[in-house]
Formats: sequence, C-alpha cells, structure tokens
Amino acid sequence: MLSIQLLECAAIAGRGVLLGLLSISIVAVSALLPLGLQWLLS
Amino acid sequence: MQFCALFAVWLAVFAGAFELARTLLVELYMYPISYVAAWILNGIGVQAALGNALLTSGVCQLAVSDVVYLVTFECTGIFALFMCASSVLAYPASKVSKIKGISLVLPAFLAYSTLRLVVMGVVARFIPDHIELFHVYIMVLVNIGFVLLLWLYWVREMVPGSERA
Repeated sequence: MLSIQLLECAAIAGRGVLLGLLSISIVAVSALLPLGLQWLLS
Repeated sequence: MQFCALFAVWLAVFAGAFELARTLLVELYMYPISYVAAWILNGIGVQAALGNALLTSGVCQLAVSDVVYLVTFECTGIFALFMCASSVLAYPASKVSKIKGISLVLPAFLAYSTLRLVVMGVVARFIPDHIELFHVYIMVLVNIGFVLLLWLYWVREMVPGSERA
C-alpha cells in the first residue's frame, strides 16, 4: 500500500517537473523568439 | 477567510524555517539549481562559470559572457515556492491531497527555477540589452503565473470534487 502511494507521489513529482519545464519553455520561446529574430536581422 | 488565515500562518512558518535553515537551503536548493543551470548552459554552448566565493553570504556568482549574475534566493524562486506550498497546505483538503500537492510543487519549482536561470543565461549571452526587461518584468510576472498555474492544476486535477471548497 505504502509503495503504491510512493509510486503515485513519484509519478506526481514527474508531472510537476514536466509542468515546470513546459511552463518556462513556453515563456522562453514566446519571449525570446521576437527578440531573437530582431537580433538576427540587426 | 479560513484559507487566508491559514495561508498567512503557513507563510510565517516557512519564513521562520527559512531564517533558521538559510545555510542548509543554500547547499540543498540554491547551489544545486545554479550548478545544474551552469551545466546546461555549457551543454548548449553558452560558456558559463559558477563561483562559490560568496556562498556563505547566500549568493552564487554565475558568469555568462561579460555578465555576472549574483544568484540569490529570490532568483531561485524559493519565495514563490513558499507561496505555492502555503496555498496548498492552507486549502481545506485531505492530508493525502496535500502530500500530493507538495509532491507536485517541489519538483516543479526545482525544474522551473533551473530552466529560468538557463533562460537568463541565454539572454545574457545573446541579448544582454534585455536583461533588465527579463529579470525585472517578464520573470516576475511568470513567477506569479506559475504559482497560480500549479495551485489551480493541483486543485482541479488532484483534489477530489468532494474536498473542494
């Protein structure tokens, strides 16, 4: 029972890591893309 | 109302714990995040060096190109993590749901804060003129958004309907 709950917590932790990475990646791409294009064109 | 009071209490608990365990948190939270961020930056071709001369003062030096970031606790998002954890613990849900919430929030913030430093490193390398914009405005807003996103995700996906306020 305890091991199942630990596994569930590990799965949730994995989901948390993915959420964290995904959130900042979306922000980075959407914020850096226009600035990157500007930098390339200048 | 009860949620607000409990939220304030948990924030105070975290603030107290932070003051007591500051040195430990430097070694367990701030330095590992900065170390991994510097490692990723070097891995993607952005030369980065991590200095630990000021570590006893609670500051890491992350040098990228001509820019030296003084990475503090604020930069690693620890106070936003405290806010998020407090809002999870203050919510009127079962203990199991709260444990799930902390299991979600802690690794999410570790990953988020590491990549956030990487993004700041990339900004320092390629568009140093925009450091101020990213550091002071964009990342602060993103922090708030991330806290809300995580908390709402936890409430909607992990707290059973019968426990929701």
